[in-house]
Amino acid sequence: MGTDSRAAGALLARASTLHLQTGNLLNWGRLRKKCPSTHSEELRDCIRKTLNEWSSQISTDLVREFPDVLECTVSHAVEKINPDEREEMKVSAKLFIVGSNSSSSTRNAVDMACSVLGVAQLDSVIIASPPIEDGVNLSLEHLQPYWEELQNLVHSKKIVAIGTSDLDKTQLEQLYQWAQVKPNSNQVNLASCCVMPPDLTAFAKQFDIQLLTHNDPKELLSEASFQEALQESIPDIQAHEWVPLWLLRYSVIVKSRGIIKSKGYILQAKRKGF
Amino acid sequence: MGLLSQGSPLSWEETQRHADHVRLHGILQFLHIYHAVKDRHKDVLKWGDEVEYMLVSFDHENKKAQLVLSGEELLETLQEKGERTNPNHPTLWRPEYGSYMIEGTPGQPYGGTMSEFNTVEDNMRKRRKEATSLLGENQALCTITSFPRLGCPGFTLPEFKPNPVEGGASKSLFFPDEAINKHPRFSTLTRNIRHRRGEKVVINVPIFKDKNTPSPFIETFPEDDEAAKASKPDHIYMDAMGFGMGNCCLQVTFQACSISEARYLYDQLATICPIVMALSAASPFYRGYVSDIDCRWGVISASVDDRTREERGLEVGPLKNNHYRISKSRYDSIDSYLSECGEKYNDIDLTKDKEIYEQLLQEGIDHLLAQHVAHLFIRDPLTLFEEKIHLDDANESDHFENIQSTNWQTMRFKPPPPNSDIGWRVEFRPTEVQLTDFENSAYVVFVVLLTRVILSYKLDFLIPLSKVDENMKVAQKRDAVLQGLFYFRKDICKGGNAMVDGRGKTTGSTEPAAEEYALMTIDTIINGKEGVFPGLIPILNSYLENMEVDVDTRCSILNYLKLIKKRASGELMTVARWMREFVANHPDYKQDSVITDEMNYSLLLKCNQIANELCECPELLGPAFRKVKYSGSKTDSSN
Repeated sequence: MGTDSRAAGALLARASTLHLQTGNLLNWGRLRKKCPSTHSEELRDCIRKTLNEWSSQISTDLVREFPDVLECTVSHAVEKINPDEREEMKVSAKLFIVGSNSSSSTRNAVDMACSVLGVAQLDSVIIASPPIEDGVNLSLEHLQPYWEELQNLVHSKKIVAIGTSDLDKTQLEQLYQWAQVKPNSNQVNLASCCVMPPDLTAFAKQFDIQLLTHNDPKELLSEASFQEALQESIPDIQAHEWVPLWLLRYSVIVKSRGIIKSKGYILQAKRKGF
Repeated sequence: MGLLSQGSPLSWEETQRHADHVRLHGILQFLHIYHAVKDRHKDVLKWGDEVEYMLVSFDHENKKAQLVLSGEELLETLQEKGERTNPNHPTLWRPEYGSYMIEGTPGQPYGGTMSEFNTVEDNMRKRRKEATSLLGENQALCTITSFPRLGCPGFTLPEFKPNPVEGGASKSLFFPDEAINKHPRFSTLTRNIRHRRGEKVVINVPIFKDKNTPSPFIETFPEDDEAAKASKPDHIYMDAMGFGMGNCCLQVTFQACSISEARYLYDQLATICPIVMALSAASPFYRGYVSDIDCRWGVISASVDDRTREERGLEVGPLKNNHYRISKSRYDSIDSYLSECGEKYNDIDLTKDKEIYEQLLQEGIDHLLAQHVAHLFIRDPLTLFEEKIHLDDANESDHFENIQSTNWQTMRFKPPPPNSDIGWRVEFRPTEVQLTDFENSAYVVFVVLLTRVILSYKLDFLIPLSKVDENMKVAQKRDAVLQGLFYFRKDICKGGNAMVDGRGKTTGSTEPAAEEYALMTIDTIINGKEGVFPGLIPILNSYLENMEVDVDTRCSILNYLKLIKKRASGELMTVARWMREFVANHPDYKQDSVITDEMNYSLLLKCNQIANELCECPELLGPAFRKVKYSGSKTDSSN
C-alpha cells in the first residue's frame, strides 16, 4: 500500500463523509477462476478493491484540498447510461439501511444513484427490511419513516415504483393499507420460491403485487465488516470511527433482451461525531 | 428439416446439372439479404424450441412396440385444427423425415423477459396433449432420440419389408422406404444422397460388448455385396438415411440483436455443443442392439454423408470428378468461427469455393463471413423442384436455403428471410431429445439463459476449433458425461478490467496458447471446481440474482438447473444411462447386447409412463420434480 494508503489515510482522518461507489462491476472481470461468491463476500471484496483502486489514484491536488466529503470511486469503471438507450433499460435498486437512520438516507441514496447512472429517475426501488433489535418483530412502525420518504420520491418522480423485501402477509397487508403509494413488489428469499405461503401468494395476487426473488443474507453489510474492509485497505486509520449509513445496489437491465448492462454498489459512511 | 416446396422433384442427374445455377443464385440471394439487413440492430430477444416426436403403437397382447406410419395424416389434422384455423394458435407442427415422426414448436416465439422461461414447459405440454389427443388407441407420442429397434423386422405399423432395389430411395436391407415421410422431398433427398455418393450410406456403430456378446461380433449379409463390404466386425451396421434422420432431436433458435451479436453467440455456443450433447445423451441403442455410444450425432452424420469416395480421400491420385477433398459429412460440427475474436482459433483446414469466396469479398463481406458461406457452398444441392429453378433473387431465398439447410451443423447461422421482420438468428442443434417436457424445458432454458449470461458478462469460451471437434468425439462415447474429459477454456472472463482484477502485471507477456484451455470433466465445467473453473451453473445463478425474477419462474428455473447440475455431477442419470440400466435389468436380457421386441416394448412403455407422469423416475429426474409448481403464468417482471 505504501504512499497510496498514507494519502488515503490522511484524507480520511480529516473528512466527515465517505461516498464509495464501485462503478459497473461487469467492467471489473471478477469471475476469473473463483466461483462467484455470496453477495456478502462480493460486497466486502468490492469495498476493499474500490478503496485500493481509489487510494492508488489520489492526486496531490486532492491531498492539498482535504475535502470534507470524500468521493471514492473506481473511476474507469464508472458508466453512465446513454440517454438514447434509457428507454430500453430498466434501472432498479435495492436499498439497505445499515446505520441508525437519519431521515435523509433514502433521498441521498436515490439522488446518488441517479447521478451515478446519469438518469433522472429510477424505475424501481426496493427497501430491504431495516435493522431492528434482536427478538423484535418487524412492524409497520419500523418501515413507515422509510416508506414516507420513498412515497415522496415517487411523488417527485424520482422513482416509478417502490417495493419491499421479506415481508410476510400480515406485514405486507399492514403496509398496503396504510401506504399512500402502494408497494408494487415484495421480494422473497430464493429458498422459499418453491414453497410459498399461500396467504402471501393470494394477497399479492389480489392486490397486484409482484412476488420477486432475492438471495441476500439477513444482514448484507454490518458495521463491523465494513470497518474490517476499511482497515484492511487503509491500515493507518481509525476504522472504528467510520459507520456505514446505507448501501444501495443497482442494476441496469436491457428489458427486451434479458441482459445485464450494469451493476454496482453505492455506499455512504460517516465519521462518528460529525 | 428445412423448407418444403411442393412440386416435382428432379433426379440426381438433373439436380446436379443445375448445381452451379443453384449456387450462383443462392449467393446472389444471400447478398441481397446481407446488403438489405446487415445494419439491422436493436432486435429484441425472441426464441423458440423445436421438439421432434415419434408415434409409437403398443401391442399389449404380443408385447410389441412399433412406429406408426401416420405422421403425414396427423400433421394435416394438427395444422388444419391449429394454425390454419387460428393464426394465434399456441402450437405449430411440421413434417419430419420419418413417416412416424412429427415436429412441434411454439406458435409464437418466446420473448426476452424472464417470465417467458416459465411458459416453455406449459407449451411443450400443450403440444404433447394436442397431438396425443388425435392418436388411435394404444398409441403414444414419444420423445425418444432413437427407437431401439429401428430397422428391425416389423418395426413399423403397418409392417413393411425392405425392398433393396436400385429404383427405391434407401435401397436398405433394414429400413423400408414406406417409413420415410411421403412428401417427395424426403425420398428424393434419400435417393439423391445415395446417388451422389455412388453407393449406399454406411453407418458402423461399435457394439457394446457384454458378457455373452459374441466376440468378435460379426453380422453377415450374403445377399448384399455392398453391405458385406461395408459392415465392420464388432459394429452394428446400418445402411440408410433413416437410421440417422429418423432420430429425434431438440433444437433451440434465438434472435440476436444484430449480425455481430449473432456471430459472437454462434462462436461461443459452438464450444458448448459437445458439453450439452454429453449432458443430454439419450441414444444408446441401434437396430436392436446395445451400442457403445450414447449419442446419435455420428450416426446421423454418416447417414447423410453424400461425399464421393474421391471427396472422402479414398482414391489415390489427383481429383478426377470432384472439386475438393472434403473432411466432413454435411451433417457435422462447424468448421470455422465467425466472430473476430474467433479468428485466431480457426485452426481447421477450411475447404471453400474460392470463386464464391472472392465474389463475397468483392461485395464487401469480411473474410470470416465470406469463408463461412463459401464453405457451406462447396456442397451440391440435394433436392430441386422443377417449378423452383428460376427465382427472383431479390425477393426469394430458396436457393440459398437449399444449400444452407442441408448443411446440418452443430450450430447454424441464419440470415433473416427476405422481406421479413425477423432478425439475425442462431440455432443450437446438438441436444438429444429427452423423455419428458420437464427435461426438454430444462435443457432449452439452460441454453437460452447461458446466452444471456455470455452477453451480460461478455464471457469468452473460445478454444481452438480442432479441440471442439475432439470434444465432439469424446461426447458421444458411452457415459461421456461422467468419464469424458473435455477441453475447456480456463479464463472465460474477457470483459474484465485488468487493473481492478490485478491482472495489469501480465500485460505484454503473451501466454502460450496451450495455457488457455485445460481438460475438464463435465462436472467441473457445469458445477465448477475451486481454483480451477467457476462453473456455468454458479455463473448462471449469479446472473439470476441480478435479474428481477418472479417466484414462479424462479422456482421452475431452480428445478431446471438442479436437473442439469445433478446430471453433470452424476447424482442423476442421463437418459442413455437409465435406458442401459433398464435393459440390463430386464428379465429377458441375456447379456448379449440384443434388445428383443419384448424389451423394446417394456422400455418404451416405461418411457411413455414417465413422460405422462404416470410413474416417477427419481434416478432420472430427481425426487422432487413432480412438485414443480406448474402454472405457466406470464407475470411480467421486467417491464
